[in-house]
Amino acid sequence: MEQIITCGADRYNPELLPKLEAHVEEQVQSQTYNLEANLCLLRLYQFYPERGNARVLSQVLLKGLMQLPNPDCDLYLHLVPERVQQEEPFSTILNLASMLNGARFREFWQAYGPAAEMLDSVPGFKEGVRSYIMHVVGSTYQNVPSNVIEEVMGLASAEVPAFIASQPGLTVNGDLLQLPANEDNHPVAKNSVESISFHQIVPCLALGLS
Amino acid sequence: MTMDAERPGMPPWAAERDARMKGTVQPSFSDHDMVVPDMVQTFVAYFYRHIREKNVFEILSMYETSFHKLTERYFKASPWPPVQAIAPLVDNDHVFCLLYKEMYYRHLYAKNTPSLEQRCESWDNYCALFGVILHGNVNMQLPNLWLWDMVDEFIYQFQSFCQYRGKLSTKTAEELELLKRCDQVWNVLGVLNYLQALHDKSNIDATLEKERSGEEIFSQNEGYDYNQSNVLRLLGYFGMTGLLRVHCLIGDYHGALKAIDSIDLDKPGLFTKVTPCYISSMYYVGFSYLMTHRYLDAIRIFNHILQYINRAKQYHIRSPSYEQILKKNEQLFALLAICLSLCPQPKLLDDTVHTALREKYSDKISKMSNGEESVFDELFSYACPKFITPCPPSFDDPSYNYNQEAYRLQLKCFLAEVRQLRHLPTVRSFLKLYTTISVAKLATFLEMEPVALRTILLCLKQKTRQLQWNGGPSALDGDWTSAGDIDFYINGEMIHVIDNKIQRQYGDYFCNHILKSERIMADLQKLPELL
Repeated sequence: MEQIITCGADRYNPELLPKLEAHVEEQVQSQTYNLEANLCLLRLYQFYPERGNARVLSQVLLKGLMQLPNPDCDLYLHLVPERVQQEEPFSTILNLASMLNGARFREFWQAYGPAAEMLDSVPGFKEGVRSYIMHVVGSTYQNVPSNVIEEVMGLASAEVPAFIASQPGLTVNGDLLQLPANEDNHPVAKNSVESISFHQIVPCLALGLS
Repeated sequence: MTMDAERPGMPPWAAERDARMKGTVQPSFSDHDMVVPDMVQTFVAYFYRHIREKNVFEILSMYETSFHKLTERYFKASPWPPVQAIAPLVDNDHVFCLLYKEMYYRHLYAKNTPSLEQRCESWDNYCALFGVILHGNVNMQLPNLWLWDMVDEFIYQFQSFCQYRGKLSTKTAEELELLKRCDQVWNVLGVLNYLQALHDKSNIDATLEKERSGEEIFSQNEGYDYNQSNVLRLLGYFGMTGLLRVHCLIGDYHGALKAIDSIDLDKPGLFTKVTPCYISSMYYVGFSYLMTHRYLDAIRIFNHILQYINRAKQYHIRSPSYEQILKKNEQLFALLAICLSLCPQPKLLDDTVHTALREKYSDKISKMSNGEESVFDELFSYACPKFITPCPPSFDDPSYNYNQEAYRLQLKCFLAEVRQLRHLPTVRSFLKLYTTISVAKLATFLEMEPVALRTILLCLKQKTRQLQWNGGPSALDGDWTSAGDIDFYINGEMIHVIDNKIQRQYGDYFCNHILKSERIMADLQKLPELL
């Protein structure tokens, strides 16, 4: 697939549409991902709006959301006309995307319920989103209160111990959960030191000679 | 719309369409009512001779200077003579006539509003010209500037056609009927395919690769090679920057940056030697970074090109593109102001750029930093490219204006991101005052629930992480880095703040002032002699 997309003018060939749509289905089922191919498909939808397929488009957007913190879903949305974005299910997806982007995870899980059927139709969606949330929490906290985890992960309190057990590197520390250390939750001050290069002072030195 | 894959070459539908249109549209001139002034006749004859003799410097001077002088003198408001009137002067040379028409239509677009028929003719002319270059054996040597202008104008006319097509409400039924038949003219796939075909056929990727490994010299000779024509190679090269622009215009920012994979943006190359190409490419690269939330990279690019314009603009005062350069300069400053408001990193700026930016926009930057959305809207709308809707409008509802659609979508996406960042400056400014503070205490200061504050802190952390280009073959490469002037982490209930002290760099400042004071002293010493 990769080869079809990257070789030359074929990138813009509308004949590819059915293949690209099938490839989206393949990505969904096999839990793989191909940004270039999906962008190519959305470009063709943009050129031939009458050939747009709502189901495929929603799958592409959800796959994009699973790539957070990479802004793939945003890249896709720039190619989807506003009037399409206002229709369902896209306005729901847009809303969910905005919550995830803004780290409003409690709201996200509240909105998840009513849309669960669509969201769960993409295998691995919930896990993908949870791993993104874990990434955000893990870069902010060294030790996080377990009720915060409960809230941002959309878990019932009974589910928390099982969740903790499923996360490598999480250790219970009283009321707190200790997160694995990384350069984001252990930031060091970047104090810039000015260094002056010889090149910079050459004009001043030259003054002495003249 | 038919699904025929567009392939470069003389389009088969063109002849049929022309025949259909002939009956309804009167030709705007005939051979007889046009007397070609002597000076213009001489110009054309010499121009033809120099092109045949591959005299690049003469061609460039005639193209850059003489053509504009004659335009000023004879064709300020009217088009240049039709190609039929000059063909006899140049042995009816097919390729020269195509080149002449390229300039003819460019001039026409610049001075008048072209009719639908003229738009179609210009499209056919580009198809024929690119067809000859792609499939014929062209042995010309043309100035790089002209080849760049060709690609630039090709996209400009495409953009202009989309705008023209999008405004149905002002058109008569007859015009609409004609427009419906022109669905292949300036078709987005056609445009993309030509640019891509020029790029592929020119083999420019391989040339640039060889240049990198030192096997071949390309940019050092500005792409000229006396053993072979520069035309296809250079069109292939500029085709990449053309693709960058078209992808940007349709909102595909990833595709835009990917299109210039073969060009090393951090090194001088051919694109840095053709001034309008340099400015335009950096504008679109920076804009793509801005739209993909890579503000550090956008700032780096904008700072770089603004420094360049500041140095180079004096050499272009007499050039016809001077106005364009100034306009882009202003737009670049506006985009830079946006980036700095979203990602306050003034230390990345060069002193001269920073001073100029403060003069122009310090007011607006402080408003934007306070989250005033209308200012973001204003600057974005002023500085963004003219986005296009690449598909034809629906002819069933002619009252709708399709031109605003593409622009509104991009604006909406941009403002959505601005809104995500809205609360962050306030929280950041509070954090700056502390080394440690509890979540509950900060929440009281900000008059919000601790739960809401935790959300904002997660958002702040997430949004200060950005991809930053760090030397890699593609402009899309990058590493995640922290872009804030402060950083922080939370340990349970306690927020710990790390201040990334931004130290002003004094070296350049003092050097400049030493030189300045020395100059003043020298001038003062001269004073007694003058008196």
